[in-house]
Amino acid sequence: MATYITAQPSIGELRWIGRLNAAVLPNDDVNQASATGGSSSTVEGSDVFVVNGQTRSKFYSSQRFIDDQVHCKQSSISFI
Amino acid sequence: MLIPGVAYESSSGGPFFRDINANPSGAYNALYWYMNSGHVPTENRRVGLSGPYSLVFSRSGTPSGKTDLAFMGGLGIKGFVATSARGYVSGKGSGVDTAKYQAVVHWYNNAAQYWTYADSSNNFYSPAMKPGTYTQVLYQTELKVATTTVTVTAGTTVTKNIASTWAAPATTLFQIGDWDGQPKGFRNADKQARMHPSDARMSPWGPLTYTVGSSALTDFPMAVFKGLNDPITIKFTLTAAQASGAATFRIGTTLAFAGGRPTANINGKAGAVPAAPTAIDSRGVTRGAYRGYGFIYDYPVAAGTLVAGSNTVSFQSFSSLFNC
Repeated sequence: MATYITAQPSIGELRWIGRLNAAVLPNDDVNQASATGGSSSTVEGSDVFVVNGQTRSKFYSSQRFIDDQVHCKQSSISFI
Repeated sequence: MLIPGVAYESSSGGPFFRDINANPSGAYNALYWYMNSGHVPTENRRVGLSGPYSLVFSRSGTPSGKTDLAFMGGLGIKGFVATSARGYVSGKGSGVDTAKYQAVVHWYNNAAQYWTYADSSNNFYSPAMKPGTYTQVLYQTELKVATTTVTVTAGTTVTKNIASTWAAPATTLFQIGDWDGQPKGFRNADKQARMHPSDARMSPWGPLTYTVGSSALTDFPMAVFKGLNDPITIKFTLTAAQASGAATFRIGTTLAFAGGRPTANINGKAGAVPAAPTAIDSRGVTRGAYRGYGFIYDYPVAAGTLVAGSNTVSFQSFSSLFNC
């Protein structure tokens, strides 16, 4: 894929999102630091949550661009 | 999601910028590539082609981040600049101790951005760059230590060396942490990218007292929050010879929020409040970011202020917070 723009989107950011089946690929690649499902409360704004007593946010999945060539989802499910 | 090669060339923020990658949110597991955003932005956003990038499903381990997607250049994609229409920069950095730091070289202009690690001999070779004139930056890990300019033309490799302009003081009375542009090693720096400062897994933020010679680096916090963990107190011992004459108390910060900057008090004498840092319109330290514009503050210490024996420096955040 590639994305070509000639002006910034009015929403203020440009992003690609894959909404993957959480039953098949449940895990992020940062020990679930970004896993906000089942949260009991918010800590800050509308993007930092509490899950099982831990603070969680999609922001906690970030890596430095220079080291960030693979964004990974994982599963321990065995496919037979 | 693979984002290999020069796929970030139309993004912004440079080699150390961070953005959202993932979010298992319950209903689905979101996989992201933010090509640009307003999340702690340090430069204007670019337009043009982002990519090529690729969604890969694998049952045999993590796919390689070096996957070559250059074949897409033959598909007539608007905005795609073929490798043959690009040029390169090679050179040698100097003045960065690669046994201790990473040497990173970064190129940017209004249209594109690139970067590479230099090797252990400080030699570097750029990715395939669009023709144009670029600012070329050398970093000591993440601390900017030199800037120059270079012009890239298609089909050629231009040589452009770069030397660090970072100079250590002739005499250092004490130093806490390292000049690497990161909060690495300070208290909670090992956790801050992956959780909120209020998380129970964090070590207590203080206020802390750091004693030169006996404290561990983790006795110094990676962030100073106004009214929460300031003042930070530093105790150090000097000989009569060390205490004579004037000195400078220097604090390096990587990110500030809402005008946060340090104000120093040295042996009971309050220093001037420095000018407010350039604002970034974004939360940062609470969302896993530690890198903004970065400012270094120098507080002059007049002769007679330091004493033989025990000395105390304390500093507070004038407003909001900053990262050390």
